[in-house]
Amino acid sequence: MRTFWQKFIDFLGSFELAFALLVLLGLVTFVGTMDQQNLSLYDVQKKYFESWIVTSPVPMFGGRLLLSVFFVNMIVGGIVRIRKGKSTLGILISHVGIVALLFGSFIEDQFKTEGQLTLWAPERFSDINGNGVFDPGERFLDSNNNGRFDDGESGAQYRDPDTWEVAVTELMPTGAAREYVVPQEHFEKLEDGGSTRYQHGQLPFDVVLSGYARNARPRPVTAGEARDGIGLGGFVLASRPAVRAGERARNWPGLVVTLQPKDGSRAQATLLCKSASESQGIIPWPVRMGERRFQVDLRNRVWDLPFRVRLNRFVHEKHPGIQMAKEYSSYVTKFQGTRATDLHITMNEPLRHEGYTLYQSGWGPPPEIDPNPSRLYSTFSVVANPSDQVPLWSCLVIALGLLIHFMRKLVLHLKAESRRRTPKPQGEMA
Amino acid sequence: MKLPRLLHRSTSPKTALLTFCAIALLAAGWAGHASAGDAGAGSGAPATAPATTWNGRWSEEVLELVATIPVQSQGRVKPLHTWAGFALLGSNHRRSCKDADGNKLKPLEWFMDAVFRPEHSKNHRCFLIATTEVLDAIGLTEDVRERRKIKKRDRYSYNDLFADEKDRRKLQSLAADFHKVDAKKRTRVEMGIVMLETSVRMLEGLNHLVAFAGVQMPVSEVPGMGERFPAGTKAGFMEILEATPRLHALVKSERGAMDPHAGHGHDHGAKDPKLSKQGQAADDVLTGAFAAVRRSLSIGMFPPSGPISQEKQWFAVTDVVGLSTLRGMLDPGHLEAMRVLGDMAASVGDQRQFTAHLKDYHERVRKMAEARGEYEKIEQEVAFYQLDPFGKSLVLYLIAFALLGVTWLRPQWRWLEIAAWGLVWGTLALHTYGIVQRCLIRDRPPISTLYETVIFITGTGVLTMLLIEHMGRHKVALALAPIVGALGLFIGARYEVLKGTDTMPQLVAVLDTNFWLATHVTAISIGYCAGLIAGLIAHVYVLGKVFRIKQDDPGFYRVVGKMVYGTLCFALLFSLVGTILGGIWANDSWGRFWGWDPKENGALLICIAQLAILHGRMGGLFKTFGVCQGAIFGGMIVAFSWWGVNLLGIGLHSYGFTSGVMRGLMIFYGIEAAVMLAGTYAWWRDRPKKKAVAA
Repeated sequence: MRTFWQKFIDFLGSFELAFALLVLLGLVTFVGTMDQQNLSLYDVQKKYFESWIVTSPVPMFGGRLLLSVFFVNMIVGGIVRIRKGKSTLGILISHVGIVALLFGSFIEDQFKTEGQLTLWAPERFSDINGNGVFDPGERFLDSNNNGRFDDGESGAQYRDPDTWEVAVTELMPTGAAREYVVPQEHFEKLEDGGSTRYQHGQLPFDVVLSGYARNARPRPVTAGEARDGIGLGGFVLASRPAVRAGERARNWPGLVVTLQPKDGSRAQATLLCKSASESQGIIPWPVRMGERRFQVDLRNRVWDLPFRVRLNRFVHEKHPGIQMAKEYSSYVTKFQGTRATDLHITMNEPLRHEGYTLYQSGWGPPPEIDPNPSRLYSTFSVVANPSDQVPLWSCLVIALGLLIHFMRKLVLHLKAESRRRTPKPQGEMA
Repeated sequence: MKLPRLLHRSTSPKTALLTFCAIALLAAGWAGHASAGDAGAGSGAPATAPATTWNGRWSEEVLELVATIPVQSQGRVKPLHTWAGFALLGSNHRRSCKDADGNKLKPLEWFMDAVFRPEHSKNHRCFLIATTEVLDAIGLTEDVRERRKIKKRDRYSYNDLFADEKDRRKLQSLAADFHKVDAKKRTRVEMGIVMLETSVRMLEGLNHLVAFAGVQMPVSEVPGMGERFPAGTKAGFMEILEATPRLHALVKSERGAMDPHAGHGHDHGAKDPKLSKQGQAADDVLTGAFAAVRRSLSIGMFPPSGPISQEKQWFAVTDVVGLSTLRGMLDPGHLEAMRVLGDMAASVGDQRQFTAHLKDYHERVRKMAEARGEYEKIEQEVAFYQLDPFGKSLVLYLIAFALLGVTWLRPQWRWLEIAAWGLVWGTLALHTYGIVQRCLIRDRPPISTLYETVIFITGTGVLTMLLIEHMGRHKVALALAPIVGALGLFIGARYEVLKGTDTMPQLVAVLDTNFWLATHVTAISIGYCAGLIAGLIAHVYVLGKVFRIKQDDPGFYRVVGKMVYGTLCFALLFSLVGTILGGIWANDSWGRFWGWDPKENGALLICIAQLAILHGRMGGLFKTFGVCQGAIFGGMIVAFSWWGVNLLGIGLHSYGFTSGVMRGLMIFYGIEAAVMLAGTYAWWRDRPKKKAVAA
């Protein structure tokens, strides 16, 4: 008599479950693909592929749930419980490859950081602030105090244009700065209401975030709202529909920041709102607490690079007589310590160094803005992905496994065909 | 059910054989007609035809010389033969057109007429108008159409459409409006208007290409020219062009360094108070010279004199004249080439003279191109298009299929079966030769465009079928091989017509990598191919069950089922590896392995479908019939990934968008859904009987 757990394990490793998961994964992939005509890629990823459950247009399991169960199914059924032998060697190897691929994707999902780095040519260092160097200080805080950034040598920074952070920067009398950062994943859940409090021992106040809107603009309060005490400084955040696929516009977030001094004095609050035009956004917010000076900003998420990059020359070449791009190339120098290395970054040939990869992703100024620029800038996608090369190795393992399995099947088939065509001895025929 | 009975009752084997051959030959003829390939300039009159036999048609000698003249267009250097072929294909949806007398003209004949006999070319029916609504839109009302004998969707000449100048202006104005509409959102009529305007403008550009040769201007007041051309006489265009650097220097010195270009080229007839009387005369001549070539087609005809590393763009007639009149820069090589071009235009009536000038022009341009290393592929490309390997392969595949059909009726004719087998292999060799030639001409792996995926997948499909046949010798795959070949090449030809542009275009920067084109693109295309082949073989199984063919031969269905299964395994290997390689490429290009982009999702869907079929079979959820139904469904997913996602017009892979593909795709989905439904019905119909037998 098999126990419930034995049956459950059987089910987890079964072909039936694998088949059902594949069908459901196919369904969610198809619907998610078609919905890209209506939603932005980012929204589609969140809704279909990075979710546990999808509620509309029809209820279905989300990609994250399906892939998680599929991962377990493959380990239980495809690796642990599979019959081991010559006939299943290839299958086993390819399952190991797929599990490694999925695991690599999980690592990427959890630990990958990405952003953009824009450099001007020539002689412009990758320090985006242009002047001076940030004291990296302590760059992160929340009530759990997790996710602290490493202190270290300050280097170039890159920004993620798709995610945001609230940065509280203390401006030191020496001219240096110390930053305390709350990343987007900590406050985006506030879109449905509520507030979150953040604390740090070095700060004289607690930071309370609330009223987050993914796409918003500040507007003056109406007379009625003013009567009811709604608004901050005569403004409220007017939420806007999220930008959809194919639209040139992008989402500009906003939220309410309240600083509650630890000494019990009166709290200060403001709206932080980013905009395509800096002049339209209410940022950054200067704050003075006694002798200490701070500024609070809502900005694209910033990451540090452990090395510096200088753009020496940018080449943008078109095919003769047409507008089609032939080449985007950046000739750069990488500085680390006292060493300087000249490198070439172009399409399909990124720069990989110390776990970071720099890809050629853009350039400017756009001709419609400046037809004859005196100098060009080059934009790089910067990615730190611990599982960067896992897909390559997984691919080789999967290919090897499938080759072993299918070649074996083919040889067996050919042998059977050969037997079929060989005339049987007389006695047998009788 | 009626068709087989009819054949059984009224058709003897001999009649059936003859009927089959007739149908196959008709189909072959039709396919050859539908093929976009060019039968080749060399296939007509002998090349030795004397140049003096001018009788209104261009001699073969002239056409052969013109074929290998290099030009630069759409970012690459190509033979004029290729340029003219695609220009006419885009305009007329055929690589031929008819003149007023109904004579069929090859692309180069049309080109030569358009350039050197503009008025004559305006009677050539080289504009396909797909819908009469386009005619309505440009103002050709019913009575006007009746008067001009324009009645239906057809091919028209310039003079048919624009006997009245206001009709031409109407088209221009409408096209300008519709140009503002996103190409993917244009209606059929709007698209027709825009395409017609493009084609008409191209013809007008060709008509004006050497119009400068007839331009004469009074230059009696121009310094340095008045002595040679006193009042009452006029200077020819080439004398003026030769003098332009000097005249430009004069105008520039009088204006000062402030703005040497102002005052001519844009504002014809305007007087500049800074200029003396002589300076003004020089400026007027410069303005007039530029105006004389302004309407000529902008096609790179003259290679720069410097090395290719310094200057990549070739010069059109407008560029040469523009540079000399606006900047005072005139390359002596270009001046001479233009002079010869003018001489050609002036000697059109004299074939001997014309041919001599043409040879001179060809030699000059060839040498200039050769010096830059841009001529080495020209003759090879002309030979490729003249051979037309894909058009010929299409016809040969159909003939092979017809021969195989005969062997079904006459199984004892073993020699015919061997001949058919040999013909399929031979045709595949020709097909492969075409693919290899394209690789050599482009210096690229076999696939770098959507068109090339069709050609490559078709060839791989035929090869796969032949290998399957070689392994099993069941004649099923052999019969399907020429069908795959003919169908695939027909789709390729239709796609070429639909696009109407060069199928060897330059690639955007991200695709400019032979390593990834050779690995990811090739692997994924083989995966597409195998997925489609599995679906096609599955049709034999499902339709066999539906129509109860070979009911008493379970071995037949077992063999077909094995073929489907084996091909699916083959497909999975390449689809999965190809998809992951695509992710690795994306990781090297954009910094992420997987982005849920529609094209990526399409590839993933193929892998998921194939994995689901194989796991369902291994888990005992379904047997051979289910595998075959799944393979047909898998074929639909391949079509979605290959063509369907491009039609969404979103994502990083949207370069594959092609208008007009949707209808074909929908027809395919409809047919496949019908086959699957019929299969499901057959399964339901036959199931109770099996139970009864078992009982």
